[in-house]
Amino acid sequence: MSDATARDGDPVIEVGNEFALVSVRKVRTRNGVRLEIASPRLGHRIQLDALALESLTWQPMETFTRFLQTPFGPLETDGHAAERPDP
Amino acid sequence: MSAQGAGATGVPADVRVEVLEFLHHEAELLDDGRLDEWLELLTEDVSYAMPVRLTRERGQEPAVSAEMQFFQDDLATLRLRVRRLRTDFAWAEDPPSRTRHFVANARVAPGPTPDEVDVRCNVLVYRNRGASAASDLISGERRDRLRRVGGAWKLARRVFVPDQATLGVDNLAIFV
Amino acid sequence: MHSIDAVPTDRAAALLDRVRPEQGEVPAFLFSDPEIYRLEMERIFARCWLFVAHESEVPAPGDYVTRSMGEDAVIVARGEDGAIRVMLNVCRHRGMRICRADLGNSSHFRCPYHGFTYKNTGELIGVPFEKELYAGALIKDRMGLLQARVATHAGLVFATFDEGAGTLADYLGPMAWYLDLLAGRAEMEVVGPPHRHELRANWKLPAENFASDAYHTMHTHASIAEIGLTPSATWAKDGYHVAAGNGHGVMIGAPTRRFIFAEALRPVFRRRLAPEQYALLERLAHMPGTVFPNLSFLISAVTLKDRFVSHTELLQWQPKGPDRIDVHSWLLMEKEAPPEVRELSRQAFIVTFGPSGMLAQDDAENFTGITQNSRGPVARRLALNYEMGLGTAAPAAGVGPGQVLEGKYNEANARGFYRRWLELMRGRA
Repeated sequence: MSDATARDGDPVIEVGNEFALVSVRKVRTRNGVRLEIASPRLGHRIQLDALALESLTWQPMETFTRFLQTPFGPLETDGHAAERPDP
Repeated sequence: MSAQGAGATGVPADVRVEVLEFLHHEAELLDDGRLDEWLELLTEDVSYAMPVRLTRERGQEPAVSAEMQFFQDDLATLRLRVRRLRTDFAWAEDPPSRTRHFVANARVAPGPTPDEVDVRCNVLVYRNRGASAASDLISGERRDRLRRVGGAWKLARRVFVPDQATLGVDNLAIFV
Repeated sequence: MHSIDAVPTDRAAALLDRVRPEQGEVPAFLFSDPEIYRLEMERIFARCWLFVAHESEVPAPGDYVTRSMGEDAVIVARGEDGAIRVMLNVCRHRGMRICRADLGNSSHFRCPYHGFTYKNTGELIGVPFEKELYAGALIKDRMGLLQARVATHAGLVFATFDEGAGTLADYLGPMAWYLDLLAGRAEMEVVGPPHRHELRANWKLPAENFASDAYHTMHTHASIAEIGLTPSATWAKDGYHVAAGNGHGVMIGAPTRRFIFAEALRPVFRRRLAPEQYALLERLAHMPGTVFPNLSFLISAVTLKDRFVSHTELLQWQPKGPDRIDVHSWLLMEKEAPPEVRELSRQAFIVTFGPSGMLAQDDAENFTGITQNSRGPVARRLALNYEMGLGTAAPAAGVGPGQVLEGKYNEANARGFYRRWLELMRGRA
């Protein structure tokens, strides 16, 4: 569920490689701003504020390796398929 | 539609006909080995390029290298290539290939000056040599710029974008 | 236990007995026989140190290119730790090709078949529904991508899947000294992606040509002198023929009428090379060679548009069957080369030695013609002649390491190439 909205003129950046494609854009809340990262292929999105993003800057690549231990994301948490969120 | 029939492309119908005639005439010269006449169709500042094509994921397409080309010629080097083919030692083309340039789907758009047009077309070059029935096929898109010089169309720029990342040819001793 | 490797049959052993480099005899069947080819894949390409990439093709963490080692597909990737790894591009689950693009950047690789996910170090880290489906029994740590041993010299990345192979330094031997002139004289980078095209010829023909055959330039490339790119048809006669160890061969064109590199780069060369290497670079007119088995190289200088210009290139002959090569050729350039030199040098590379190159065109004609002939039931038995210089060549001193012979026209390096080939094919390496 998105409480923040993209403002016209904020560019959408796509970052892709052979294995994944995500779109990244700035979104506005009533009082601030977040960065939205969306995966159209798997149907997930996340909105990260500055503090959360800052914490990413000191993560070792191992953090992401751990995230990727379930390659399809929450579809397989608890060992059973969850419903895909609406993209 | 305008009286001249410029249509949606903004290029008058008679110009489109002239461009097609140019492309067909050029193909005839190449296939007949009339390379000195072919050189006459090029402007003094012609650039003739064939970039390297790459296999990339969707989203990075069309992956055409900006840094490396199979051809990167100007009039001086094109003349050199033709001169070489005229020597007695150009083994790659003696006996010569039999080629057929098929030029199709030409789209003509206005160029940056009133005397220029930009032409995109699909090209298939069939090439056969010797007694073997095996043949080369070179498929790609030409992105040409033609310029009217002294009343005649000339080729000022060609970028031939090949459809293969690994060219299926022993050599490129012909022109595309 | 039986090995699944191809072992030479009695027929293959009989074929090998007819390869007599010491007598200057190399039979034509070497250039198309399928049994010879199968044995080459296992005894040469699965054992030798093979070139896979130049360091500058994967400059940043996560950068990768896909390449071949013989007929095996590999990924050459720079990890987050900065190390370059070479891994079989084969998922350990069902054998699917994981990376299918020519190049890219990724910290992890995900197989298209079932989604098995690997770090770019090759470690298997993610298996979809692993807990549910494998009940914790799937041993991920023995399912990493198969790793090759990797070593570099002068920015050239080599790899081998043979655990028993010696070091790259041992493998290169005296050739390392000449590779410094080629690729270590300055900080070098490849310009763009390699040219790739298919050549309907056996891989050994261009490999031995670059190692040993200066003689052909006079006739095959006579057109080049005629149009003024080189001063005369015999431009490639003077210099040295160098057996550089382990089947490697290099030819030194010398002396030159004038310095073939950009003047501005002299201080860089002097700083990076040993005095003897720099002295040879000053005299160098051109330098073709082959690192056994299938990496060739060339420093070439021509007069193009009234300007004297050199370029440096790598050529790799990737075998794709007994009579097919996937040719890769890269332009190597000094990072500090002045812009106008870069541009002219690039054009010289393309008009002389790419697939449209005015020299490469005619070489291809020879390599394909020999390969076609070598299939004939009569022609295949012919012992082709590699006798030039047998027992008559004079050694030269003060050039560089290896066995240095006076004059470039010789066939000693081809004999050395096939001597090494024979040792490996017989399994005595």
